[in-house]
Amino acid sequence: MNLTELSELISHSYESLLILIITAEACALIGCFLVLRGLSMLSDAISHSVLLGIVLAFFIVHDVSSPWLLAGAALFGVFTVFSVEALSKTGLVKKDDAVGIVFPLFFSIAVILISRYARNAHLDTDMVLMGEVILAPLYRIRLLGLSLPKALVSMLIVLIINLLFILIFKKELKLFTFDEDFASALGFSSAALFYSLMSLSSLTAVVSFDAVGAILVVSFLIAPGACAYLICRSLNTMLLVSGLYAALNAFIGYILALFLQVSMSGMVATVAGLSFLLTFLLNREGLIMQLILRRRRKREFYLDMMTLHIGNHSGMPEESEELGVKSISRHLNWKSEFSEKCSRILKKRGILYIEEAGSVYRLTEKGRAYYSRIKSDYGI
Amino acid sequence: MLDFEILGSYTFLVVAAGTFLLSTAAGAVGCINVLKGESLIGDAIGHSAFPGIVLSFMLFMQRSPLLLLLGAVVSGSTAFFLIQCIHSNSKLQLDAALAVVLSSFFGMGMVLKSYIQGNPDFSKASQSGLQSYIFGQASYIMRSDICLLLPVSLLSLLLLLLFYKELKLFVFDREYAETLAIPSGLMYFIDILMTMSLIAAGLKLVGSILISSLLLIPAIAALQWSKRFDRVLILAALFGGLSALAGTYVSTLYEGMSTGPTIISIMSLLAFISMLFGPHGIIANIRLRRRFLK
Repeated sequence: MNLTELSELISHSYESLLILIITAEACALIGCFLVLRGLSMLSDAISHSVLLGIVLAFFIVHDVSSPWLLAGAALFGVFTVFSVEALSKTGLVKKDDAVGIVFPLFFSIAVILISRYARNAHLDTDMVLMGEVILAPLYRIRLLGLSLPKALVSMLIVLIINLLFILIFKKELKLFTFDEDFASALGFSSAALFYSLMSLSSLTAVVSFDAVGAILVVSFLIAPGACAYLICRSLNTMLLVSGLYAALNAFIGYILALFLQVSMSGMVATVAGLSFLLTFLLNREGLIMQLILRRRRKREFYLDMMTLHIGNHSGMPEESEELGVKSISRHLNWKSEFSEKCSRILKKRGILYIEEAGSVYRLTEKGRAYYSRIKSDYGI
Repeated sequence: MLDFEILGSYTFLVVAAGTFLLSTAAGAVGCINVLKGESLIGDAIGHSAFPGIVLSFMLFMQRSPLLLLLGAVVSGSTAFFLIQCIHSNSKLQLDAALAVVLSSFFGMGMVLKSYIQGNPDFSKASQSGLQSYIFGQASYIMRSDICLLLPVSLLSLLLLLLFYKELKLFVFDREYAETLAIPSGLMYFIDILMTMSLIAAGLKLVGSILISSLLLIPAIAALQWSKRFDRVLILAALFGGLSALAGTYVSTLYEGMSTGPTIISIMSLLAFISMLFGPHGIIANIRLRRRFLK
């Protein structure tokens, strides 16, 4: 596929991109708090069991796009959270186990209901999994004289609700996220905040369902927040950075999906996973930096060992043996190439020199000062 | 009343044998994961096995159960390794790492699947069965699938029996186990091997989304009845096997009841009953409270 064809495709489907980006933003905002509160797998449970809510509501209203269906399904998501909480409060099972028992049950019932009663309806299992963001612009709505995709409008409304909630209750959310006990001591109801947060994630999951499907919405919710959590140190920057990640993931996923002609929401989830992996590897405290630091610390330790050894033995009768250029490696119990490499580094730093006459290592003036400093540093 | 005509039919016997083997083994093995507090890792592995299945189909152009199993094991293990690596090398909590890995692997599976669907190169090999690895299609399993399930389930049960003592120590008191020179690396490996192979082998029956509950729910039900490891293992295997038979029967009886979800619904029902009526269950608790109030 060449560039003109690609731009042709984009001009036909830019509305899908808009829907994707707005969905990603709405999810990422709420997702930050889910990541911070350790509720990520609860959102997974919500996104699975919302399906049962949608199916049940569908049996009542017989219209997939009715707002009642969305509301009913969102309520069902809250009911899931409530069941998980109630189950783990009995003390019979742990919280993780409660999550693991509630959502498979709801999901199984939904699958049974779909396959038994709703085979030919607008609900099929493929749509449940990935949604069809490429088809979403086909369902349109007239608003202010403009013809807009329905999914775009409903997603925009959810985004605005989420934004308003976070802006209005920012102080409370912050307190409740970072120090729940203090928040309760100040008289904020943590249950009310918890359930409003959960209702919003449930609503977001239900509305995103059209665009991205039940399972991949987890990626939209959690991945940007998780990336931002790794690199940010304040809530404000975290919210902003996660928004950036969300938009970037959606955009790159959309372009790649067009280019390879594959599932869009799947591609966005894949890109989100990759961007998380890159962030995890490359950030300032990431895995690669940790490995480099670990290596460097190890090398510094060996250099210190060598300096200590030379300092301890210089001026002693055994020094020609202990500090000999040829024999030092034996006394340090290192390979001779390694001790030569270390001595080269120390020489470059001006800590040691080789005395020509006896060909033994000696500390320079600077080296002796360094020797006494590390001695006190190591507490010897 | 039981319908004996169904009970004797060939399809019922094959499906029942498959689900029974899988659920029995999964029930027993799942106890280890639940007791270790890692019940949601199975969920992540189950979701993550999906792209491996599609990839293995793309590579070999056929749906032999063994090759697909290998693909599932490879991608499930990759996901498991990634989760552990992220969890131990960053400040991110385990559940966020789980959520990110499982959703992006599943997304990758979706991408690969849609790539196959639109690609004429793959139209020759039949790919219609791939869908069944998401939701499970127990009613379509064949003898070749049983031939795979039988050794996998028996092998994991055998491993469990062989290393029963060591695994028990490893689960309840890892430090003590290490002082007795029981290598925790090996125990980890055995645990992962059993879990992974059961998940991979069972994907076709119950699908990648629900497979983890076969490991989890019988264990939870069994834990309500006993505090002894050996009894819990036996009970969990029993609960798993029984609900598999009952679920298969119900799904054969009524059209449209998918087997995997039916089995899991019955399992959950058992678990809830156990929670209500178990010796430390909800009803017992209420009675106890009453007696103290008097």
